[in-house]
Amino acid sequence: MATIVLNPPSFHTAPSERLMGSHAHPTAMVDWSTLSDAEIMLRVSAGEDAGFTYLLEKYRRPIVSFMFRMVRNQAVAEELAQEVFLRVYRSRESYRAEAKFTTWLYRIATNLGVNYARDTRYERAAQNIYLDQPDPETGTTPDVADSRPTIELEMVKDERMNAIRQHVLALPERQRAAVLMHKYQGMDYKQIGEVLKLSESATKSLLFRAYQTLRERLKDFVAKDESDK
Amino acid sequence: MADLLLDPQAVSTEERRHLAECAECERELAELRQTMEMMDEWVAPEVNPFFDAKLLARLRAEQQGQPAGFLERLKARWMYGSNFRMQPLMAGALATILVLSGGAYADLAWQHAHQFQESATVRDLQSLDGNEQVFQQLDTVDQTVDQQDQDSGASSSSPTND
Ligand SMILES: [Zn+2]
Repeated sequence: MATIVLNPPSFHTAPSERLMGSHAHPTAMVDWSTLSDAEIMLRVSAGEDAGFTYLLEKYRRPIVSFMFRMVRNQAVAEELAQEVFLRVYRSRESYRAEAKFTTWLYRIATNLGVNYARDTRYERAAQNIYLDQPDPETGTTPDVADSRPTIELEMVKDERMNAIRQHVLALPERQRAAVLMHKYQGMDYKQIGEVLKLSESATKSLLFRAYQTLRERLKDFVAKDESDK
Repeated sequence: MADLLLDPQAVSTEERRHLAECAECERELAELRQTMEMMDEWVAPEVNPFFDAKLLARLRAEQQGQPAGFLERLKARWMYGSNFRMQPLMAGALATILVLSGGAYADLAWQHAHQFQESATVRDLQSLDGNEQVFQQLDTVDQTVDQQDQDSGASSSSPTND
């Protein structure tokens, strides 16, 4: 169902109606899945916009969720993700295949996320202290306690969830980006190092420090039987 | 320890042997793994179904709107720029020239705008380099805060440093 909405018929049923512009031959049926991202990107820079919609389809969700965990707000995350893809498209002609596509993509995303976080740093600090806005995911405000026993468990879970988000967000920017890429984007420390322009060993210790911090700050939420002694 | 968590293949047999014998290290590793596992609970919401449509509309608008927008701004600056005041007559002549050569000029302006966008991305990437320094400063600040946390909260005193 989502697919139908996501890909308005005009895009698929009329291959000649290209994203924009009218130069270049209409794209023949290409099985994009047989090409590497870098190959696709090179074809996009040669004017084949269908490759761009393929990459968008492939990375939309990963990039939005990366941004979401970076800024903790879905609407902002989607705005920033739009900006990521806009920049990818705008700079398609300067894309060089020696950079792995995902490295390039996540570098743009990290940069936007970090800049956003920095720009709104004081705002967010103020919100955390005074407002404690409704949870963007569940729509509930953590402090408005509801005493019905059926939701006790839910509340414990919410509390744990909140702690995870809070402490990931509290990590230094580069550690946060590294943890998010490692934990949620399925990237290994080598790929992360390329995105952040760090050596492998530096990335490894950056990640390790981040996880140690999280272990320390989240220890109360880890299953009791194991952490007690 | 970092290898055990992040790169198990790189762990030497020596380190493995130590882990098997050292309860402290074993516990630390288990806690790290539990923490990572617990983080799985953080699920990101679905993407808005209109995400693509919105993006593609923005791309189209950008491509169609930019040349005119750019030309407009250029014209405005020429005619009403604060440090460059033209005689009204001259401004009128310039406007006429712009109108007459519109097509070719718009092309040129479009090329220009396009290059401008590309360099925006290049700047982004450069600014990531620039961020390096800020990152380092922030890391330092954070470490200082960590240190203070540890100093003040002596009760939670398991080793945080490698
Ligand atoms: Zn040990």
